[in-house]
This record gives sequence, C-alpha cells and structure tokens, in this order.
Amino acid sequence: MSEMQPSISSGRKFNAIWIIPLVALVAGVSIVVHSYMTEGPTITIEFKTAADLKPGKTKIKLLDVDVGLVESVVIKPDMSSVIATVKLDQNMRDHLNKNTRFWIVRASVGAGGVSGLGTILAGAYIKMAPGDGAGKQKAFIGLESPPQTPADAPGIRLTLFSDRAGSVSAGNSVLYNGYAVGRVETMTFDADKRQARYEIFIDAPYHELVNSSTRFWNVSGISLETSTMGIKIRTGSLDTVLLGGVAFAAPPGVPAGGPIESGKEFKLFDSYDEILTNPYRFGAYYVVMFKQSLRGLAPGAPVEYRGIQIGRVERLLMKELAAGGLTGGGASIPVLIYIEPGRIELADTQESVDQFKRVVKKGVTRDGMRATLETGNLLTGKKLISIDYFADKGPAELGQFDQYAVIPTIETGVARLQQQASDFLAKLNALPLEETVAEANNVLGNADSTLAALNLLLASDESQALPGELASTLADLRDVLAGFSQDSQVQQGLGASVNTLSTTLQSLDVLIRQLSIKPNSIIFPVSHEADPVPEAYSR
Amino acid sequence: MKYFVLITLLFVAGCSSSVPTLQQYLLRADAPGQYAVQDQSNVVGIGVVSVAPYIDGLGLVLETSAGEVRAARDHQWAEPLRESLRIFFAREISSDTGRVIRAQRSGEADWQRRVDIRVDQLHGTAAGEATLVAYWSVFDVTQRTVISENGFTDSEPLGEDGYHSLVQAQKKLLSRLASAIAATL
Repeated sequence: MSEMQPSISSGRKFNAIWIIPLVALVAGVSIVVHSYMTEGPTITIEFKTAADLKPGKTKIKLLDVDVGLVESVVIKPDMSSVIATVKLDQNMRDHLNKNTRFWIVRASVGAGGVSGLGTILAGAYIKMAPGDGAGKQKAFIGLESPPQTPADAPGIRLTLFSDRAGSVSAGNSVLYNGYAVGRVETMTFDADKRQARYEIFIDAPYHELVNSSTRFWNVSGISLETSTMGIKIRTGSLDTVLLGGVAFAAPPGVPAGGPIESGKEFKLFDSYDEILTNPYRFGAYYVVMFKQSLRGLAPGAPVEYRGIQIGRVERLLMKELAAGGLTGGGASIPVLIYIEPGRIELADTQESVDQFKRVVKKGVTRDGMRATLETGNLLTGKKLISIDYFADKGPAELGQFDQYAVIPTIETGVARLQQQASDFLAKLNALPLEETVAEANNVLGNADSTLAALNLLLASDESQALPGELASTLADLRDVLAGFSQDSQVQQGLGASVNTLSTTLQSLDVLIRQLSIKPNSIIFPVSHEADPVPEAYSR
Repeated sequence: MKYFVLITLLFVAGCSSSVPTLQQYLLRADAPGQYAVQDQSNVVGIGVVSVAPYIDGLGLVLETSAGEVRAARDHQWAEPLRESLRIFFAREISSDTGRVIRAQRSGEADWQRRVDIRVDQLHGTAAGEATLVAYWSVFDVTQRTVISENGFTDSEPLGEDGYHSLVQAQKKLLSRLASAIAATL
C-alpha cells in the first residue's frame, strides 16, 4: 500500500537566483543600520529671523569646532519665526538637553565693543553651548544674544526689578565696592507689572556677599550733588559711567540677613541715596483714621514712637474712601502708613514684621496703644503720626479698612489745645464783660477822684510841714530820752533820791516798829537799854 | 498856873535826861586810794550785792545768846551795808587781781565777768568773834553762762572789847572774802 501512496511535493524548489536579492537586502539593511548608527542627530532651532542663516553653509560650532550644519530654514506656519533644521555630528547626541543653548554669532559693533569680525568673511555661524541637564531634546529656541554666563558656572542668579528701565542693560557689570563680581545677563520689561526686570549673575565666591539684607542700586552715569558744603560727585567704574551698571551692598546700620537662593527677587533702587532713605525691605501696612484736619501731613511724613521714627506715611486712601461711598457725615480720613521693624534694631525679616504685628495687636487690645496726629514743625506746619501708649485709654480692637488693619486714634497735641482754647474762648464769651468793664470804669473813676483829693491833701501846707515837724519831734524825743540814760544827771539824781527814800523808809520802819511796841513813845521818851558791848574772845 | 508849872517841870526833867552818843563806822577798803589799771580787756562788774534783812539796817548786830541777835542803837554803820559792800569789794578785788572792777550799775556793755554777792551772816558772836557767811556767783557775760558758784564761812576773834574791835574783825573777814572772790575770777 505504501507503494501506492503518491509522492507529494510542492512542485516549487528554492531557486538560487533568489540569493542575489537577499544579499542585496542584507547589504542594504546593514547600510541603513550603519548609516543610522553613525549619523548625527537632526534638531530644530527656532530664531526670530533667518538673517545670516544659509542652508548647507551655516555651520554649528562648539569651541570653534564644526559640529554640524544647517540643512534647511523654513518659516513657521504662524509667521512668528523661522525654524532651522540642523544636522549635528553623532558625538553631539549626548549634549542635547533642555539646558543646551544656541545663538547666532555675527559681526557686531556697539558700546560694549566690536565682536565677531571673523564672520564678515567666513559668514555667520551658530554657536552651541552644551548643557548638563537630564532628558533628551531635539527642538530648541535660539538666543537672540550671546549668554553672558555659562549655564553651569558657579555663582548665584538673581532677578532685579525696577519701576523704570534706567540705563542698565544686558552685559553691564555688577559691582561690589567698585569691583566687578558679576554681570547683567538679560533685561526684559514686564508689561503686567510695569516693571523692568533684570537677570543678573554673581560669580562665586562673591555670591556669598549677597544676603536678604543686600540692596541693589543703579550706578550708571555720574551723581552730582550740590549743597552748602560744596559739590559732591559720585561715580562708579569707567565702564559703568559709560555703559551703566548695578552695585550692591548692605545698608549702613542694617543687620546682616539670612542666606538666599538663586532666583530671589530684589528691587533695583535708582540711587544709593534712595537706599539710605528706605533701607529696609520688610514692613507692615496699617491704616490710621483721623477726623481732624490733615493739613501738613504728606506722603513720606514720619511715623514715630516716642520720637523715634519707625515708619512713614504712604498716602491718604481717598480713593478707597470714595469707593466705599461718601456718607456725608464727616467720615474719618484713612491714612496708610508703613512701619518697618528694622528701624528699631529688629532684624529686617518677615519674622520681625510678624512679631511687630503681635505687639501692635496686644498694645491696642490691652495697653491703650493709640495713634495721634502731631505737629512736627510749628513754623512749616508739617505733621507726623505718633504711636504711643495711653494708660487712661481702655481696651480697643484693631479695626479693618480695605485690606489693612486699623490702629485706633485719639486727638492730642495742638488739636487738643485748639479744642481747649475753643472751649475757653466760649466761656470767655459767656462772661458779662461789658458790665464788668463798666463797673471797673466806675471804680477807676472813684479811685481817680479819691487820688485827686489825696493829692490836694498832700499838697497842702499843713501836710508838707508834717515831715519837718515829725523830724523835730523825734529830735526832741531823742534829747529827752538821752536825759534818762544811766549816765545822765537825771538818772543819777533819781538814784540818789531813791536811796534817800529807801533810807527814810527804813527809818520809818524802825519808828513804826517802835510805835507798835509803845504807842506813846512819840510823846514820851523811851529809855533804851544800853547796847551790849562785844567782848573779846577769851579762852 | 499849877498846870503850867507841872508841864514846865516835865520838859525840864525830859531835857535833863542823858542822851547816848551815836557811834558811826565807815566801811572802806585799806587798799591804796590812787591806782591806774591799763588793761581794759578783762573787765569785771559787781552785779547784785544783797545782805540778809537782819543786817540790812545801820546798827551793828551782836549775838547776845544762841539764836538771839540785837542791833546796836548807838553803834551804826555810816552807810547801808548793801552800798558800802559794793564799793569795798570793788576796791579790794581790783587790788588783788589788778583788773578793772566796775562797781557802778552802768550796764554790762564792756563787762566780761559779773559777780553777784549775797552776805548771809555778818555779826559779832557771844563767844567774842566776828562771823561771816557769804555766797557768790561768777557769770560769763559774753557767753551768758554761770562759771562758778561759791560759798564762804569764816570767823575772826575780837582783839579787845568794844564795837570798834568788832568792826575791825568784820573788816578783816570781808577782806578775806574779797580775796576768795578774786581767786575765782
């Protein structure tokens, strides 16, 4: 039966001819793979314009070594820019990441100098700055100007903002005590905030000079100040005079702040004098509301605590007051003040501000803290706001106006004096002055007539003779008294008379005694016994 | 006529009775009468000089028995003792000390010391002596303080009978008292 089984075959056999295409296929694949393995990456770079970019000619350079070539340049569909397709060498593959930057190097002449002269003959080229970030990237946005600092340079990168652009521009130096320690990398204008913003980079190790208390100011140009002491000129280095620049330092008297990190924002002051005027960064806003006249109180007026300035007046919140609706009842006028704890030797930090807020809250609610409007200068009428404790004031609460806390106020100083003077004048007006004056006039009239009569009396001959007579009488009296002195004849005669009288009285005493014994002895003689005779001492 | 004769006889009888002779004795110091004191710096004044009432009369006093005295009627001091003693002491003390002693009551303007003297006893005794008991005080006029208070008791026998001898004895006692006072100035 097995013999009966047919031999089945496919009827097709491998034809040797097919080897040739297989070999060709393998060769082709290997060529493609090899080509892919050895070919560099193709990336796209977006520029504002295609100026100086020529496909097939413009080269990509890294450290002046050709590492690629511009293959094509096309316009983006939205016409906002152009996209250049670039073929790089294969060994550039590992340097393409988000920090890799490209910019066009072309000849330029400016205030900073002349650069890129070599491109006049050789043509512009694209310069590459490899980055060290993670992640692969093939689409890049080219820089319009060369980066001032390598991306991996040691140091710190900060942002400055200013209300106006001034004369600072990219490439300017950043100075510390006149020494260039960094540079301004870019300058942009934030339309939303209406601020000019500058990216600056400070090289290591000078970046350690920057802390939270550091202030930056514009040192461009020449500062000329005239006063009675003469003319004072302040300049930076020559390049900052010509090109502009930024300087930084810690304001005098402000304690050093804490360390900062990259990306921190600082205000760029217009001048160093402005820093001296407002050397503190951290503060707190409060509102004080007054019903009395605010004449003489201007923005910038000092806010004091017992004579020590702790802040300044920002502005009168008239717009906010009007926005709340005018009631017509003579509402208090809100004044926005800005208090800086750094002025009372506290650290210029947000923690100090928070501590100060707690002190104010406790002072108002428990210790009678109040704000008053004081006259700072009686001649000019300039006023200031004083904050102090008033023991006779009871507890109060911090109010709220708009977004600010409100410190309660009381009327003191000149305002209180004015009120007291007004009260006094009112009482004075109530006095019956006319009647009083009339009576006083009558009294004075009587006094005049009395004085006239007295004058007549004094002018009479008798009155005029009185002093002379009085003097004469006194002289006579003196003579009389002199006659009674102990050495006078009168006195001596009187003494002798007294002695005689005393003797007589003694004799009279003897007589009286005798008569008491024998009353008739005055008629009939008395026979006396003979006196006893003293006898001599005999032993 | 009979009454007239009787009265006349009575007057004649009265006038014919014997009248005793009055003897008066002057108390004065025995120091020289002429003297000159130049030093006017330590002037002493005799202040109050008082005598006991029983000898404040003119008659010399004699003790007849214990506790019994009798003032003589016919033997008297020529001046009251309170006056004569002032002059006597001033003269005697000035002689002893050589200092100015003011006896006049002319004030204390220039006095530095003042002496007040009280004579408590000055009489003759039945035992034939003269006795003297006295006290004195010395004052600092400028300081108005009492410097000393002193007492003196002494007796002197009579040399012979009679009031003249009694006066002499009393004079000696007063001289010794003046010396004692001078020693305390």
